[in-house]
Amino acid sequence: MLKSRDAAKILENIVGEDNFSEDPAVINSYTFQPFSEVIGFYGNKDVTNDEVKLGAVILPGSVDEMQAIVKVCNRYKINFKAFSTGLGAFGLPVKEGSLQIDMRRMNRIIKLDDKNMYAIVEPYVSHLELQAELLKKGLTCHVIGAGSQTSVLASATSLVGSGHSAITTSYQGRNVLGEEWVTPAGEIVRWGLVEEGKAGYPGPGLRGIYRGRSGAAGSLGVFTKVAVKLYPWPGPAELEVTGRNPTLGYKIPDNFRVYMFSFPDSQSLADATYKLTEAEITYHLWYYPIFMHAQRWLGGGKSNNDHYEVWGKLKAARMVDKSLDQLTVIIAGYSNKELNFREKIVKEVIRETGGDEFLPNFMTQEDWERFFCAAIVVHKPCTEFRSGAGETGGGWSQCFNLDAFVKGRGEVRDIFKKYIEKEIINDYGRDTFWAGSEDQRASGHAEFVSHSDWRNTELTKAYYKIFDETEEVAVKKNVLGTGLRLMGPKERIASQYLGNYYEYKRKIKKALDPNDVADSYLYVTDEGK
Amino acid sequence: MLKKLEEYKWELGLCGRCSYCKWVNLPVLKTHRFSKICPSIEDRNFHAYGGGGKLHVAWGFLKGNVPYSEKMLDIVYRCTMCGACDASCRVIMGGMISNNEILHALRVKCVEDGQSLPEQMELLNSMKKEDNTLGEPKAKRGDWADGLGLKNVTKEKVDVLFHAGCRLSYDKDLRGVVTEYATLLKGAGVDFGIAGREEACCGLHAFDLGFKGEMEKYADDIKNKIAASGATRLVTPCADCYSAFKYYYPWIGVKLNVEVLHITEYLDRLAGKAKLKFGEEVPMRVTYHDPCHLGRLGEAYEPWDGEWKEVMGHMLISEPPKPIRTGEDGVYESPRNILRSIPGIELVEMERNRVNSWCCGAGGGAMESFPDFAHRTAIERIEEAKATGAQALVTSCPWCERNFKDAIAEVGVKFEIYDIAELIRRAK
Repeated sequence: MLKSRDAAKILENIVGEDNFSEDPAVINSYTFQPFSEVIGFYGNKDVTNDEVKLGAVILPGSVDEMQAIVKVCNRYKINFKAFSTGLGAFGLPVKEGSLQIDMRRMNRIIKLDDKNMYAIVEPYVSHLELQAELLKKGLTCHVIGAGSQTSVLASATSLVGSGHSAITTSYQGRNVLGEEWVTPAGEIVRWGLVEEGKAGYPGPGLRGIYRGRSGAAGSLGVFTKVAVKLYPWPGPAELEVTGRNPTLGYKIPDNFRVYMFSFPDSQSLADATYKLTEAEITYHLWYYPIFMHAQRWLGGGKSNNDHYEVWGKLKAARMVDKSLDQLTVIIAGYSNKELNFREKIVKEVIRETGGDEFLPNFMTQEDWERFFCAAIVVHKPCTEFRSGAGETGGGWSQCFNLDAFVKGRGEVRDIFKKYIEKEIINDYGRDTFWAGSEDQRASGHAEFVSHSDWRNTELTKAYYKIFDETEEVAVKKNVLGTGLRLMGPKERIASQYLGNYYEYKRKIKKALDPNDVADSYLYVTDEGK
Repeated sequence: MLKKLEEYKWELGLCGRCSYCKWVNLPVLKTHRFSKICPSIEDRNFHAYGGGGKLHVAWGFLKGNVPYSEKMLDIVYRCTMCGACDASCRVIMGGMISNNEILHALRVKCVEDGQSLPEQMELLNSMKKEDNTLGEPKAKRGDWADGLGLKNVTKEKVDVLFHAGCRLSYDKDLRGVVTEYATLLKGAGVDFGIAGREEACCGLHAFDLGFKGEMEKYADDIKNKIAASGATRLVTPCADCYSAFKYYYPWIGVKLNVEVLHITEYLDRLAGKAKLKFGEEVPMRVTYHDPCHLGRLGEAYEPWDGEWKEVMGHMLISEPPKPIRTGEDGVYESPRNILRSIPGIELVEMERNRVNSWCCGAGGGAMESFPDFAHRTAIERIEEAKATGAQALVTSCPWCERNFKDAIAEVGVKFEIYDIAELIRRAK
């Protein structure tokens, strides 16, 4: 319940009684988040989802309502945070008595401009909803690795935004061409292609202010519209679904080719990636750890039992040991000539770098179709939750180049080994990274994906120490860039090596949020200092 | 076997809050307009109303953080229990969370604690007094069969027991549906009979509201009737009854020891044996609505009494492997086969079909307790049907048909609604 009854009454009046609640049943459904220990992790304190005490939940239906809500929060000093589709504890405001803003009612695709290749969407529009509409127009959008059920706007404006087609569709933070933003003080800022009457060019950018690389995770106000850049889609207007629920795939269109390659060593993998990105010929170029192959497409991936059975076969064939240096590649062409040209280059690069087919005796046609589906629409990434009810998303975003990734991976392997031996994380063999290049460049995103058991609080706390140890190695040895987990107080680890930028963020926060009402926990805070 | 809510606590803790339960299985998604799958959260918007959200409410309840309140009960009961969240969750959690079972266990707990809704009492009292859900006299249950010359299973042995269900037994608007099916079976030479006034409710509506004892009582009743009649098959034109016999009875531990068939399955078989033929053309473009209880809730129940074991660290696998209810093995093709075999019918699909079908809004007690919600849910489906360019929506469940008809009458929308039987009659 909010402390101020006046504030509660005003907020209810703004959105109507159906869209405001202080009831414990509603509130508890919002505080439930796996890995809410992550909140404690950032602040070096113990917090679980039962200990996050929201005051109320509100569902705005328009930017005007949103602005009015923020102004009430300023007037009554109510801490607030917004989320869109709500995946992850990042969307929770931490201070007791906070207002959780759920953007679900703002769910419109405002504009699809196929000529100028951009779309304007509201917060609740998911990646696949947008992508499904775009395919019909010969376009596609970037889809983030957290899955196609997540919000386009959130990934563009507020949190990371890396995904499996990044080689073609960049990462979402770079795709922003404008937005409508209610600042923490309650001002409405419109810029770029979202600005009224503006079309054809994005205008001056504010990205460096409101998100940077990783995003402010809701700590700099609320975004109510975003314009995102779109990309050409070489496939059909509608993909043909194959398989049976729940393990669906897509028939691979004739003008696409899919491959999996392995390499004799990490340097060969890096060389192949450099060459393929320089050639600018792949639609998808990604590195999945072997357990992910086993989990998501090999043998159906219907359940953990399927996963474990496949894992046993891979181990028996010694594929787990051999899997460290491999790539998945998808190419597409608008004509046979173009497709064959691209294929020729791929094969030449693989030959030059000593690559070979990966999993040739394991992948069935159905597996290829499931893989293709997973890669194109980023389907089922949240299957991670079933692998020991585990954790994903640790590691590093923006490794500055592939050499850094390869080197960094080696530097932290002993840390993972130690945690596996202590039975804190699952044993997935030598490697648990997934990574990919962005923008036809060798820079990109790397992230370790491992699993523990988040229902066991002690285990989870132990697990989170991996982040501290790996980040320390990463920044000290200058092998990787800013960390996905380096948010809020933890960000000071990276900041000391990167021009002390944390202090600039503090200044931005102070200027934009004079009353400190937009939950600042994952952005800039003195907690955990 | 039905477990207590407390026994699901560890499953509740598995939810990753991915929100997949709010959408169709995403690769089948075709448009932003028809991408959602959960009527409850589409109506109320708060996360608590979604499939996962209800699990989180249950989690908070078990931890003592969520007391009973008007809002809590609204969250629990404003749900059609359509099983869509269950099917979508399979994609992510691979059957580790028994969503539909948990929602039932939550309602059972509410009933045990005296927290049912006043609006539900009319239905419950009717069941207790008259053995039907509609408040009609038990003595008139078999009136629909007057003059048809059907065998009475309480007096004669039969091969097939035909169970009409409450809605078709009493709803005069739909009487033509049940009489048409009975006539077809008779015409095909099937040895079948009905229980007439002795037929009772299947009990599913009570169970959906959390009154487990009522369904147990009716399960025993029909089991005894089957045994006495010597029937080898139980055929029903009601999707809800079908789901009760096929899924819910085995779940609560009642085996009927008989082949359970929906009428469309049986007619599809007869058509295969050339015992069902159509002569007249029915020139019409139609779309078929998959009833939840015939589709994803029409899958047979497979009991599992195994254990979870940690492998590779903390990954859980089931021993023996737990059967996974995917929704794929419901009755989807038989109704479509019949429609396709009617001359002149052009069958077009709605975007959300089969496992990913949008609910009609009638189930879970919504029709009785929240008619406005039930009607809004139905109208959403009508909009989807219209988007196909179809002239009519055809279904194979009397509850769906009733709710669609009531909803369009209320809002003044013009659209034709049929049971398959009504098109068969035109085609004969």
